[in-house]
Amino acid sequence: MADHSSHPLDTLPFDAVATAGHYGVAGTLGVTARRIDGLSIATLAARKGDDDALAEAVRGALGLELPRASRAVFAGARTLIGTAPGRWLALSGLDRDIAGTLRAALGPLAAITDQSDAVVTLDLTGPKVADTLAKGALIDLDPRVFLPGMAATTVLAHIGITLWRREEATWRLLVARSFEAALLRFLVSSAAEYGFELDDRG
Amino acid sequence: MSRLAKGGLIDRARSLAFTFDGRSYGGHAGDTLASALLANDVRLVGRSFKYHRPRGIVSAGAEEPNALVELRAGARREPNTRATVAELFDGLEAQSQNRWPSLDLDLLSVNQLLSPFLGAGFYYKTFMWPAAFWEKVYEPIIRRAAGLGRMAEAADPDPYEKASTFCDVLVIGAGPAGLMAALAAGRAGARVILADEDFLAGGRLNAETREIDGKPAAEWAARVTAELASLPNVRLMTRTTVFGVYDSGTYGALERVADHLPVPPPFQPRQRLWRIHARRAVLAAGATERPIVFGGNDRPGVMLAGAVRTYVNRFAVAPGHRVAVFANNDDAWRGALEIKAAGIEVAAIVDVRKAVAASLVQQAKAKGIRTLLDGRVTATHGKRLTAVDIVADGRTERLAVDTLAVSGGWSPNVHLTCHHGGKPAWDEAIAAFVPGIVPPLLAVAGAASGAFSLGAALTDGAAQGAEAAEALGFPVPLPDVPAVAEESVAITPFWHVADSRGPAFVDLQNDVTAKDITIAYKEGFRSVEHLKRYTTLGMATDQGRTSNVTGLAIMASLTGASIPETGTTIFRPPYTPVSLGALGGHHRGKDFRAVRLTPTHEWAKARGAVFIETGAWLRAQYFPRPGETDWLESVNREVKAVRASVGLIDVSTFGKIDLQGPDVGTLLDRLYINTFSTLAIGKARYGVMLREDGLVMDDGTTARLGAEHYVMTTTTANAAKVYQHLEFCLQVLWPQLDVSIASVSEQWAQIALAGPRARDVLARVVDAGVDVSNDGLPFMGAIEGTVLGGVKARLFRLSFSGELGFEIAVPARHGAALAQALMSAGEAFGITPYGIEALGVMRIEKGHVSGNELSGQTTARDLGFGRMASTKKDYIGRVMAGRPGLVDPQRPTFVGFKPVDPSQRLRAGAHFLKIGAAASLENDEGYMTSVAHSPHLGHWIGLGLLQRGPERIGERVRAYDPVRGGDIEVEICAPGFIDPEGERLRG
Repeated sequence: MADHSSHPLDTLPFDAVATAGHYGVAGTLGVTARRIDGLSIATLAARKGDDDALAEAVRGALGLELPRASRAVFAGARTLIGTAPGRWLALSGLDRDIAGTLRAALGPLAAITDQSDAVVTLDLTGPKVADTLAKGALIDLDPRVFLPGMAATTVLAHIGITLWRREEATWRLLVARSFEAALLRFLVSSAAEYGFELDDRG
Repeated sequence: MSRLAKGGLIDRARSLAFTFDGRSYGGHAGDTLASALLANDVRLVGRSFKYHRPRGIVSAGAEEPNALVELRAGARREPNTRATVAELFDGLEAQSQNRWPSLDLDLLSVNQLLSPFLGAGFYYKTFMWPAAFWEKVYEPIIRRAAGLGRMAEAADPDPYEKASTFCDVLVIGAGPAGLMAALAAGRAGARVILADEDFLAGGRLNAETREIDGKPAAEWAARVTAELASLPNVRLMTRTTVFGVYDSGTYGALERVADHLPVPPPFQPRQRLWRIHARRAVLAAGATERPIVFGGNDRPGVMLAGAVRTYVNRFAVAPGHRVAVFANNDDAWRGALEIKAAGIEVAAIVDVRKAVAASLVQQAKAKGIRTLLDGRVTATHGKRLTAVDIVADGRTERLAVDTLAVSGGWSPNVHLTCHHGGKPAWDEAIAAFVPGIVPPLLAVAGAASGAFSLGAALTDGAAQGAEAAEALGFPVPLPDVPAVAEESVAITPFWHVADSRGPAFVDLQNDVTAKDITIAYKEGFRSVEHLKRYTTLGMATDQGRTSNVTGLAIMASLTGASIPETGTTIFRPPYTPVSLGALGGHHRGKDFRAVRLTPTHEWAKARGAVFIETGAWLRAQYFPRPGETDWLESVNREVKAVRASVGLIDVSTFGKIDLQGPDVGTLLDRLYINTFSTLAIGKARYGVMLREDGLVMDDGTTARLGAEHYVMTTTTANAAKVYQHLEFCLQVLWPQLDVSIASVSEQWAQIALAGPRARDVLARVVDAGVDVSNDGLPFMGAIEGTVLGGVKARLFRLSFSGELGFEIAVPARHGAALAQALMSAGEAFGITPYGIEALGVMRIEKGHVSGNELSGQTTARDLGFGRMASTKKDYIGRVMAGRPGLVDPQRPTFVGFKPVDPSQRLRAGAHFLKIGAAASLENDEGYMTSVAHSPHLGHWIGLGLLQRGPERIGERVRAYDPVRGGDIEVEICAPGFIDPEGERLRG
């Protein structure tokens, strides 16, 4: 009888961001996490006034329909996610400064705040993403229920995240920069039984 | 060996070796530890809790009161495991517990001789006096003598997990009712979870030799289980106990992922705690058999009749070779016939009833079984059972048997139905408690609802499963209910053979006898709640599964009240024990709470920083240099370096809130005690905000970056609380204000640069055109610009240390680069990175308040901010801050302290007393909140709250610290120890 279970967290320093590599069960890949760099990110809050005018202006600026619920909408490299009533997150791999773009286009209709450095973006792919996230989230992430385009601003292992399903097999989440190491520890620990791979910044 | 030659749901081709108390035995896959022990003729498995009486296996399930063992060894040792539910695996090590020196010879069984003194309430009676003896003498003795297993003495090496799942219909229990319910809802397309604590679905179908659709019932169960497993919308969770019903359709469940293996497979948890969210649930938890109480009923060999039947049918084990049955119901007769059919001698069926259905009597007689009606078992014999005394027809007879199968009827497993506070209801027809008011959206089916016959369980299960699915909009074709023969379930309540010899145990695990209940009755502890606590009935780890109903029935017979009048105690979660490891899951050790790292964490680590947890953050505490031997030495060096030249510290952990809109000035005026609407663009102001109750909530600076754009900083500790406060103000109090807020705490890395050479260093990192001169960036100035060649930055002229100070904010990804650039730029000045210890020393030297003073118990006036509070506007907390208790001039108020003898060390937490006054609460004048050793002054200094403090500057008081033995004289002084005029700040 072995003295102790091998656990990937045993060798992972608790105060460092996990390095790229394979964790957990060898030879299988249940979940792959890839850090996505280079996105320009901003929060958008509707000011007092005309919601329809805001929607119209956003349509004009980004070519996207402002989601009125916890949904993600995409067009090209731009994404808009509803995070709360009257609040959205805008992400772009196209604009160098999405906050600036929006500020110029929306004027007094919305308050725009640059958050490009506030969050770390992770893409999660693989057959076991939902099972892994279920170990820390308290919402229904069953792939039959949480369909592509759905989004949630919620907690994962007591860490605030915004999560959405981009495609059938790709989930994306944003986590505050200071929590990146802790969140990766949760992912390493929870996906280890399925085989977990952390990719270099992409 | 007592393994039957054929039958059973075990895999005879797979042999498993295990040990019990060091001896080696063999079993088969499909065995429990209990069935394997019985197969090896091990009948003595434990010693009782109080009297150390020899005990054997009583049941075949979760209700087991006796067969508690330690499983595994070393760090994995788990005490109090029920052998009846422990799945056998190859290499399993088990030990009996609560015996010394051995199970067979337990010297503490002398406790039996003391039993007259150890009865109900003995703790209260015997160990009352003298009180001082309790902790030192009585408790250690009791703990050694009366106990359960030993804990592991090392940390559990296995991981545990928590997870959430959602379903339309949760079915609890995979017996006949549960299987039908899951089948009905599953075939309709609902998302179904079927959970069962056993490793084999089927429930009682595996323990009896019934037929369903003309086939053995266990085969039917296997076929249905296979169909359910094949449905993509059905999740079958065996080895999973649903242990609690919580709000809004939330259920707690424990999955024993790897308890049936020597060690968990690589990267698998041992157990997983599930939070199941179900739109509907069907409880099909079955029923638990209860015993009849009589003298000597705890002798190894006395078992529940249903358990004997389970061992015979499911495990192909003969618990004995000559069995008598003692019962009050028809079901036990069928059990006797099954035991006989397996080739085991059944000496007699003793039934307390005067009349039993003729067909049953005929069947028994046809098999050559003696039937004794209106009979009682009055005594038992042997260390392991050798004989029982029976009274029937007025004749006493001694019957040589090695096993007595007892049945007092069945109690529906109503536990989960009571978790919202509902009480079960008494059903006289079946002599059992059935579900009363059940939690919403939970239906009960089968034996759990009192439908004891197999046909009723199948029909009821199908109906409840279909109803649950239909209510959720799934079109349900009701599954055909398979054909079964109808059976009789007649019962006559019978609890206790009063005229019997020897101690008659009601609660086997806690050694509570029928006599103890009589004592409780005589001494006035008659309500079931008193009965429970006075006698400890039902308070063991089995929670009285097999004893509660019998115990209260005996009490009812003493008081003359009916059973429903007597009532039950409250059923609370968990249904069966849940390990703390599972409740913790991933969050243990350093993962107890998510750690937050600053943008410069790796940079600080590379410089040898020692880190400290401040809330969730890990911050650099100090940066020791080679040769420095203690923290104070490093901190003194850091402080001196800042005051002499320049230093830097990461202050990114402060909360930062972005505010935009035309009404920000109005909002700030209402939040802070001082005025902000007059703040000029490009300037920052220090502010204090109160809670609604008038006490200080937080402090910090807010800067105005543009006409409608402000950024607020909060303390690290209150970042989330202040943000939440602002949300509340904007959403609830003043939704009409046109203000948008966003947390930018994570967006900006912020580094404080302090010291007389701070400007020289800053000038070298800002880009051309950014003016950081005293004119370009005066004290309390706030400007936007770029640094490091094009990196967006916000520059603030602020100081916490009392020195010329700046805070530079850059997007977080550039934080470490900024720190490094400042280090390079400051090299010529001997720039020194410092940690929060030095920061603390400098703020105490400067006399600034911080977390220790913002304690949630201080007013603005207490902290010396009385004159800062505007009288020209309203703000949150203003009215409540005017309460008499908060404006009492006697309130301790913020001042500084220094030791009269400069060599003395000050201690935070010391209380102030007038010189010569006795150290009593009445003489208490306040306390020291913060202390530091000031390298600037060369002695300890302190800040604190003292009655009328500011009026008493120059006076001396006593700083009394009984906790650490401190008692010294200190002089009251103004809180600013250095540069009270603030010349350095403005330089």
